[in-house]
Formats: sequence, structure tokens, C-alpha cells
Amino acid sequence: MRDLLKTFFLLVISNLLASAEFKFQQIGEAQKDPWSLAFINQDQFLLSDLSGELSVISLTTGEKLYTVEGVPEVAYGSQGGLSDVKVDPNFSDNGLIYLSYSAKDPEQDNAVTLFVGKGKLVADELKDFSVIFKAKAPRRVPIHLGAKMAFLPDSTILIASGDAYDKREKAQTLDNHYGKIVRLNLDGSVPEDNPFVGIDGALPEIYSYGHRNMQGLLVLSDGAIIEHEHGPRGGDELNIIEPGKNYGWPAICYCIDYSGAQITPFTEKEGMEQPLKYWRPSIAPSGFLFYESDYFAEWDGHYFVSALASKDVRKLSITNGQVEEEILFSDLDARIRNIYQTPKGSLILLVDGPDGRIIELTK
Amino acid sequence: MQILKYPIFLIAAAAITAALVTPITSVSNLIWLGMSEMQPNLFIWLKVILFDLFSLGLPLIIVFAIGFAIAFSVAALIAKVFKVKNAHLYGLAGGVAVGVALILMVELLFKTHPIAGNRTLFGQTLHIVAGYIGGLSYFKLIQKDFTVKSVIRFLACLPLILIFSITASWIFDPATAAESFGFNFSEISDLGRNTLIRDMTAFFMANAIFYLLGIFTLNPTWFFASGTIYASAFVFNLMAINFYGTSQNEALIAEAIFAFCSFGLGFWLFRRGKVKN
Repeated sequence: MRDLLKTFFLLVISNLLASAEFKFQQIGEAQKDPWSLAFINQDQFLLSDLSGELSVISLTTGEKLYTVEGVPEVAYGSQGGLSDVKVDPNFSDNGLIYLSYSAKDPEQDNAVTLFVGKGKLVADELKDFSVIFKAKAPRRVPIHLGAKMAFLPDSTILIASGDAYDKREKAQTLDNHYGKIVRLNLDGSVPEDNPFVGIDGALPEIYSYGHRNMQGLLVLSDGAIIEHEHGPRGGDELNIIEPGKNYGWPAICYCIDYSGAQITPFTEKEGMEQPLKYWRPSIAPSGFLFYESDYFAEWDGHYFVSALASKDVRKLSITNGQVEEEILFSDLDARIRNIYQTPKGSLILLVDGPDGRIIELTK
Repeated sequence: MQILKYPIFLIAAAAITAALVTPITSVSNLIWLGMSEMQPNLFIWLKVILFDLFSLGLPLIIVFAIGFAIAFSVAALIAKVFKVKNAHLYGLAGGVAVGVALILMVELLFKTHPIAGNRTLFGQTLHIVAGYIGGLSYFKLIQKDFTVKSVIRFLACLPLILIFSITASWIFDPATAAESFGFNFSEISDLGRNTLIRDMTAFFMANAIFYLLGIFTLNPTWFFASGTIYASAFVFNLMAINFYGTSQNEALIAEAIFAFCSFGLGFWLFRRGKVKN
């Protein structure tokens, strides 16, 4: 009955939006808790489900082709589990994929923390899986993990490690991975040109700090890094990331706490970066896409931010530090977990669990 | 009439506890900022504490009132069964109620601490002490006789809290206060901002003082004075809508409610004659 209703709902939405020259269609069956996807060829993509399942799905048929074996055990619950999946920039040659996930760490009193590992996808199995990063950011429950990844053009990887909610003040100190973006070589070693290498008391893998719960991390073709993160009540931020910079959380913020209390009365301070844009009230930004295709020619060169709380997608254009915003797809009325571009240029929206769906937006 | 005192004093005890608990979070946040080379000045301390009292404190009154209702009922039962009349029994009940409320908040809300002041053992202890004081206050209050003047004072406190919160927001955060009244603060001239801040603050402060004087003296004139101001605002709001084309606004309803409350309290006191204080 529920599937029938969803199909009917999608049909209605498709018809409503027909005049806008695009249509929605659900790909495959309902998903449990979809979080991220990555294309491994023109038709097939890896789909990570927060519950710990990694599967390969066909875009054209929607069929789940197989479940990948050899995926590490994850601490599933709250906001944690199997999170981001990325294919190596040379995937066609080396078959490597990268996974971020939350798991218990025996070396940190069995507390939950963020892990990033890589392995080789051979047929339906992940082989030689090894951990390349383990955040020094233990927490009682898997919450505010960040867990986003992005490759830089210099063959390094950026990893977003969230503030664990209760440890927010630690985002301002450099002896931990709470509220940090870290940069590593693809084998897990620390690049020598990281901004805090050789500084006493600072972890050398840190690239930027003063972050909260980063849910969008983009690297453009010129190497520019753009990130967005959740604020509490108000204060979701869009930031241009530069090495060694402090992004202010929780010392400066355009927000108040969920409880209603004021976390900080300050919104700016010398030595702390201002966001390019902030959202108040919060939209809970989730996925982040820089669209490059002629498929939807009018959207070429625009940014897309999917949102959980506002249940829509924000199309952004950024010119000389000014951000213009347009709200799209609010008729879907769905918590959108992530947004992707397919090889042909259509868009994929991941609808958040537990009634998770994969929706393709085509012409 | 006497039966009314239990729920009213329970809410009063919850309000006392919330007023003690809220600054724990404010101060813990401000102390951390001070340690991070962002020392807030006295004005900012006051601003944050007042902001939190209304933004965090008011919802906490509801949470604590629910906890106290259960805890004080149990305390009353124990007092009756064991024939004890001890303030510390209610203090203990209040402390337990706050402690349980804080534990439930953590366990039910993703196992995190939504109340920042509750993240350390010291902070948790202070919260429980505040609950203990709330329990003691409740015990002391219910020993008193409950009269009509108590009811009038209690009812007058409700609009007073709202009026005072608006006054505080005009004093400490005029930009946000102005925004809620439809002004774009940054686009107003210096003189305009000055006029807005002083006149609006004076308007609400005067009303708060009228209410305070009414509560202390039980003289109906003070409530009539406040009612006259709100009734005038209501009338001129209608004039603005009908003669000058401004749109309908929520302030109209608030003005009507405040005018009704003020005149209602004034007439109640007036009809009773001079109630002895």
C-alpha cells in the first residue's frame, strides 16, 4: 500500500513538474537508509546505506545487482553507520574505493569514532580493505560525524570530522579531530605541506578547524574547496575552505542552541573566517553538487545543496563572493539526503530513511 | 480557593528552579568564551543571561513543572503516610525531579546533552541543588493561606513576564526586537534607530512598571493605566489598517489580549474595593 502511494505521489509530482521540462522517477525499490552513492561506470553505481550495506545498482533498470562483501562492521544508529563512498580518481585502473563509517575503536575505550578506509572492488567483494584514518574524536554515540570525503587534484583526500555535539569546544583546539577537516595522502600518510605539520600540540593531518557537522565537501577543478555544515538553530554555513584557517565554531555563530540558549553572543572575530552564506532558520544542508553538464544546460555551472529540514534543494550561483539562491523541488516534500549528477547529466536525489528512495530527475 | 494554590505554587517553584538553572548554561558558555580570549563584558553577560532566561528558561518551567507534579505528589503521600512535615522532603523531591528530567533529556534526545550547563558533574550538581531549592520554595509557599489577592498577583505576573521579556529584548538586542516588529534595523537612519530604541523601550518598560506597581499595591489604577495604553495601541492599529492601508498584523491580537487582561484585572480589583495588602 505504501509503495502504491509513493508511486502515485511520484506520478502526481511528475505531472505537476512536466511544464518545467523535467520529470522524476524512482530508481529501484525503497531503500532502508541511503546515504551516499558513487558511479563505477556509465550505468552502475555504488550505494552506501547507513545500516552498513554497500550495494551496486543499475541506473537504467533500477535493479540491485549485488551486495558488496567485505565491508567493515559499522556502528549503525542515530546519525552513524556506513556513510560516504567515493571511487578513486583512477578507479578504472586500480578499482579502489574509499568508505567513511562510524565504528567502535578499542584503542579509544571502545568509544565510537569516524573511520575512513579503502579497498579494492573485485567483482562483488571489497578486498585488501585497510583503514587510512581514524579520528581522535571518541564519542558515546555516533552523532555529528561529518564523514564527508573529497579528493584534491594533488592526489590527497580531504575528510570532514564532526564535533560530536557534546564536544563542541574542542573544535577550537588542534590536539584532536573534533570539528576538523583533515588532509591525507591516499595511503593515509600526512602530506608534508599540511598547515600544522611541525607545530607543537597540533595534529599534523588537520587542514582547517572550527567546524561543526560538515555535510557537504566539494573540490572544484581548480582545487578550490567549498564546504557546508549544520548549525544548531540557525547558523548553517557555506564556507570557502583554506588551509590552516579557523571557521569559528562555537566561538562565533549565527545561531542559538537547540535548547534555546545562546551558545555565543559573537558572530565575528579577528582570525576567524566568516561564512560565504549562512542560513537562519536552518535548512540542514546535506549533499553538495557542482553541476557540469549540457543535459540541463541552464543549470550548468551552478551549485546544488540538498536539504533535510527544509525538504528541498537550493540552487546556488556564486559570483564574486555573492550567493544567489533558488529553492527547487519543495513539492517533493522529502528530506533529501544527497544529490548527485549521473554520467549522462541527469540528477539523482537520495531521499532520507527510513522511507528511503532513489529518485532520478530527467528531461 | 485553597485548592488552587497547589498548581499555582507548583508553577512558581518550577519558575524559581528554571531561573536558577538557566544561568548555569549561560555562565558555562560565557566562561568558555572568556578562556578562549573572547572575554564578554558585563553588558554581554547580562544580555546573554536575560536572553537565556526567556529562551531556555520558559520551556524549562514546563519540563520542571511536570517533574515536580509527580515528585511533589509522591512527597505529599510520604508526608501523609509517615506523618512528617519536613521541607527537606520536598527539597529532595525537587532535586530528584530535576535530576531525572536531565537524565531523560539525555537518554531520549540522541544521548547528548541539550542543556550545555549539564555536561559536567559540577553543572549537574548545581542543577540538582536548584531543584532542591525549588522543592523547599514549594513547601514554604504551600504553608501560606491562599487568597484572591494571591490569584490576582499570580495572573498579573503572566503578562508581566511577557512585557518584561520584550523590554529586555529592546534593551539588549534592539536589532532582533526591531525585526520582530517589521523594521529592517540596519536600513534605518541613526536618528531613526535612536528614536525606535528609546520610544519602544520606554513604552514596554513603562507598562512593565505599571504592572509591577499593580502587583505590589493591588491598586487598580495601575492596571487601568496599562490597559489604556494597549487599548489605544489597538485602536490606532485599526486606524492604520483602515485609513492608511497597512496590512493586518499579529500585534493587533496581542494588543487586544493585553488590554483585556489589564482592564480585567483592574475591574476585578475595583469591584472588590480596596483589597488589603
